[in-house]
Amino acid sequence: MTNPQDAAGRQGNSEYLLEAENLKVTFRAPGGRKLHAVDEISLGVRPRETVGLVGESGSGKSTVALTLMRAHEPEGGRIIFDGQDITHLNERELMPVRRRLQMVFQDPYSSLDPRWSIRRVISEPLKAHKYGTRQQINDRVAELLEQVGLPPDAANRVPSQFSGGQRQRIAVARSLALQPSALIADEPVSSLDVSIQAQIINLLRDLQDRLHIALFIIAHDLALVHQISDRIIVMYLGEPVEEGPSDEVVGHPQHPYTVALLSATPVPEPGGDRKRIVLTGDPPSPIARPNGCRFHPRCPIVQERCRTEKPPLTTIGPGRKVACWFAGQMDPPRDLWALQNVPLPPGVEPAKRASLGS
Amino acid sequence: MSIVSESAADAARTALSGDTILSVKDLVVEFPRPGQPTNFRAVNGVSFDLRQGETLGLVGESGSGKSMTALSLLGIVPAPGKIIEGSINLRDRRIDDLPVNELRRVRGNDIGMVFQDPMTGLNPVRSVGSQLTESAMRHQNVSKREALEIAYHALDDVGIPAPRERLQAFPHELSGGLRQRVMIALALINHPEVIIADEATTALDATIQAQILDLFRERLSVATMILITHDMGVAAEICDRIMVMYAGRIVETGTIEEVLTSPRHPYTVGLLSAVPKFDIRRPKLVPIPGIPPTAEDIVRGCPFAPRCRFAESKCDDRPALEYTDGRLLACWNPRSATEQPQ
Repeated sequence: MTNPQDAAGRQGNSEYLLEAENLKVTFRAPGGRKLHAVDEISLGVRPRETVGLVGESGSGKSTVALTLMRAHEPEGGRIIFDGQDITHLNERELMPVRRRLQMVFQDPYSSLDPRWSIRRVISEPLKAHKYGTRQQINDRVAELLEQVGLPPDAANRVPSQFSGGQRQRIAVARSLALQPSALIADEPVSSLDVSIQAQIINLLRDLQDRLHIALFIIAHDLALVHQISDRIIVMYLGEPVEEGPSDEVVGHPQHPYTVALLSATPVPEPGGDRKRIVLTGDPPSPIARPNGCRFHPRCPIVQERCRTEKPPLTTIGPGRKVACWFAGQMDPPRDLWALQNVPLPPGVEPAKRASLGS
Repeated sequence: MSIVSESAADAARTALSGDTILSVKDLVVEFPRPGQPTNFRAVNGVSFDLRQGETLGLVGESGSGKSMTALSLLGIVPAPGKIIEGSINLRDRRIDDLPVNELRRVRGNDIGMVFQDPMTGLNPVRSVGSQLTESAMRHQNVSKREALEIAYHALDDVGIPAPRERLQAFPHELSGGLRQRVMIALALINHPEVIIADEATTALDATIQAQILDLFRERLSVATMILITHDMGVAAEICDRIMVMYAGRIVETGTIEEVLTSPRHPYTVGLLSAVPKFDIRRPKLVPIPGIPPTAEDIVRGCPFAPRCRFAESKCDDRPALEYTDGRLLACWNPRSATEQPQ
């Protein structure tokens, strides 16, 4: 059987709509050195699924997003969209892909042209893809504004007349204009106020339910990514260190970095004597990466082996992967609220875990 | 790696009844509205006392007036903004109407400030050491050599590795976390009575933010501090008491436990419900509808009423900040103390 078409009209054998295989992106740093922004990351987003990519600044998460959009040229690996290898397509060949794969950016102040009316902002992709007559385009703009919860007369105004949250709604409306099947959102709420963040997160969740799009969301906030994602990938210094179903990654983190990230997330809960893990030092530079495990200089449970041998990303359960020689040997040091009841992933023994700091 | 087992120190909690160090009364800060007859009130009648040894959290979203309140304390409200009414007392001394040179002394000696962005709080073309020694020499009447030694200890105190070498470094040569530590060292170098930290960890990554919060807990647990943040989670980590601000006003004050476990003002309830928590049930976030009033809006009555689920006709009148069952609240229709936040 070659290239069968499934019910959704997708081609190929993969269950994934958007896929990256061993993606590698480097930049040239001053002095001719190589900056390893993304190193050997593989990921897949199924239709209608939400996958969250978590990492701190410099982890390469935004580079992954832009490379998937073909804004950066990867040095190695492949990008596959709906069964088609799009890694080396030219701009003309990419047009049909761009229609179905859209992106929402972090900053709605710089992603919208301040001189353009909202109608023009939203209708631009429609015109570029020859959507229809002027009337059809105007109708579609009105429909999109309604979908993102903005009044129809918003079309005649300019971005400066809207708040940050409203601008992000406009950016979402633009990204949905061509009825994409997948949406990449890079820190879509991090520039917004708390009360507005929830509006946009709920909007993305609603739209996904209604429009059945696949969502690849990139953020630094683990609680937020957990809230919205089916699966989570944790990235450190350009490489994936852990991935799995959201509840499992957050409920039973296996990699010490995930544990530290979880413990570092401030939560508005009163806590008498809350314990936390505080990593020492800063993330190393992607220009001069440490040998062995990239995380070893900051790792609380580092062993000799970690300094020289790089742990591979190993499958430890269904959809569950971790890159650590001593995976699962560090417990989250404080109660994780409602997550106590997450079933342990198959093959993980609770008994072997040494609780840290107690 | 270090493991911290104490949250805000017990010492600080017992000090809640301590002396009042800083007292703000009916503070009003206004900005002219271009082309309009009335001014915009960024801070609108804010009063509070800061007691010795407590960490007071000023929580609110952008435009709530929290940063402008802090800048008022230092006498650095950006023009054309002005303090129109009210008074600020540091112990028994009124500091809001001081001449510039005396204010400068207050800023270095009595109140230390940590800003959000260390790149703007530090001078980019001068070494860390020269900035620290300058401040020490100006305020402590010491020789250059002594100042250098003070600077060394200041860096060492905030957990900067190899402090001797770092004295030569320029801000851009340091990572974000180290820069923020330098800012804190600079704020603390003259042993101020009050420290104001304005979104001091907002620009930092989660693991670096944890380091700085850890530093606050270890080094500043008995300090008298105002922490300005939009993040209720950060406030929960180190504050003893919280003031929630909305549209230039304080809407609720209470101890950290009171505010987190039984928020009374609908805005506080809303803020807490809008934040994702690690919960496998993944309840849908409850956003606060609408947006806060902007500088163009003329607000009558309760400023939160247009976004409030519990608004009634009486909310057209402005509620005063008053004690309601032991909690300072500005609300006609507070949530009951037993009601759980969603």
